[in-house]
Amino acid sequence: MRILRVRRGYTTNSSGANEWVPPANLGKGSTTLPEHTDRGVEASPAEVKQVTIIAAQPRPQQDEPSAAGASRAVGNIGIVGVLVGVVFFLFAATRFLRRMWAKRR
Amino acid sequence: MGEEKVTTLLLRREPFGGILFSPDDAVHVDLDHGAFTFIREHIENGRLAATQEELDVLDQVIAELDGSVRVADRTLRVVDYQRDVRAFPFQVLNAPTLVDFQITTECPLECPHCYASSSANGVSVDIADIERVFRDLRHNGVTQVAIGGGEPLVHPHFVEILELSSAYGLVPNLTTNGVHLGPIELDAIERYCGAAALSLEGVGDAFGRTRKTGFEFFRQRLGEMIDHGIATVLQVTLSQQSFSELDAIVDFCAGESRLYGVIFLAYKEVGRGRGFDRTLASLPAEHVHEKLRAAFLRLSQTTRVGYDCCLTPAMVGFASELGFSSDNQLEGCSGMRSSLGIGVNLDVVPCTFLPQTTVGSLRESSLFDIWRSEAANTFRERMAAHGERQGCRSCDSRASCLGGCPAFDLVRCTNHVAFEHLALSAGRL
Repeated sequence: MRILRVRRGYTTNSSGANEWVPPANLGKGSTTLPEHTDRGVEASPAEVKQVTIIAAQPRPQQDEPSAAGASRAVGNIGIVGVLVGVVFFLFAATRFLRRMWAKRR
Repeated sequence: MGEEKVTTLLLRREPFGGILFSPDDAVHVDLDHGAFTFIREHIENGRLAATQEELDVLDQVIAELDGSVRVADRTLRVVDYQRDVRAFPFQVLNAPTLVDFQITTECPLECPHCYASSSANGVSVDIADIERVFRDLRHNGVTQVAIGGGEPLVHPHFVEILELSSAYGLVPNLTTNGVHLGPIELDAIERYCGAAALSLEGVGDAFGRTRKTGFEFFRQRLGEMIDHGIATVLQVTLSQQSFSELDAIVDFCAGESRLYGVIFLAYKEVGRGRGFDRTLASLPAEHVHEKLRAAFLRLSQTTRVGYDCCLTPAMVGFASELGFSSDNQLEGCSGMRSSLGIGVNLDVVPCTFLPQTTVGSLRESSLFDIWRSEAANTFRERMAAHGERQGCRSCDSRASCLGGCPAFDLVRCTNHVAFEHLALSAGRL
């Protein structure tokens, strides 16, 4: 987890992106924009967090749980359960047979 | 304590993770996937850092944006398109961050070297179309709009355009000749623009060779803009002629300590500029690099100094002296990778210097579709092929420089020159 790169500075020219010499050499710029009203998100006081999610073509996220994923998970739990049951049965049956064998002797 | 300013941050998903953008000084913080997810949860849901890694990222983000305001106290807008832009050997963002918008072709000065061939009889984009374009740019998470022309201030709705741009969450920046700057325009630029630029291609009499207004008028306008609190940039377009006057230009710029910055641009022989002057590629590369290096090192003592992506091949030789590290590399052409141009007819081009290379029209398609179109990919393929040509193939800087401008021969790099010498001696050129 990391910051890959930081670019700082306004672009006025119309010949594509520009690059300002990294601010570490110069100190950070002191220019700030005045408060303005954002048309898509109403102006709000600083303590209010207002979030607008924009997705013109929404599609399921890769990490979003899906119906297929859920049924796969249920299937896995079933298989594990059956295996545990078989092991438990074999263990119990072995002990029972040993006891019966010991009584006979 | 004074009133706290509200800043709307923008989070945009990208192939590498995402970008966190703050309009204050146009800060773009590129985050990897883990950092993007954490910062989003932190701002959206107030989730606190749970690990040292998260704490470090948060500390860095706060420091980069503004140490005095908590990141979680800001409003946030999220643009979360999934990655479906075709892969190329260079980085292509999910949408442009920068758009150059030619809002008019009208300009009373009719400079003899104007690349846009602007004239007093030019046309302007309808204000309703401009608002529609801004809405489209907003939905794609564009961060900055470089408003140009023609002369933008002659547009009958100039102030409204700045207001709209800002209202749609796009930082408007501007290039002007200063002729129509009055109190209303100065107020609007100061209020809404990130920065505004005046062009400077010579000092004193040399200035008047390309501009009818003369140098004293330029100085007066420059003073008015700075006194009005406008972040003012001096744009120096470097051609064969202006490069011969670079020392005088640098002297002048170094004497203006209140500038936002000085930006060097590469001259292109386009429009009326064709045949007016020659590009830096016509000069010996070592001479260009040495003078540019001296100019950067001198100006960076007093102001920001920068360059457009067209000049990148000339920068690679002294990039480390300017503080560029491997993590903060130079970038080659940004056309259709992180920027595009919109013409006065709403045609979309990779760059405003390529008005014939249309990749779509905003009258017919959305920016989302144009960015992912075959026409856009064709230009990217051209750029990829340009970076693979002989002389670039074995160069260490190829990944960042991309071989320079794919359309024009603008400036030479040291490697390119060495290659040409070798090729000449071998009889291949």
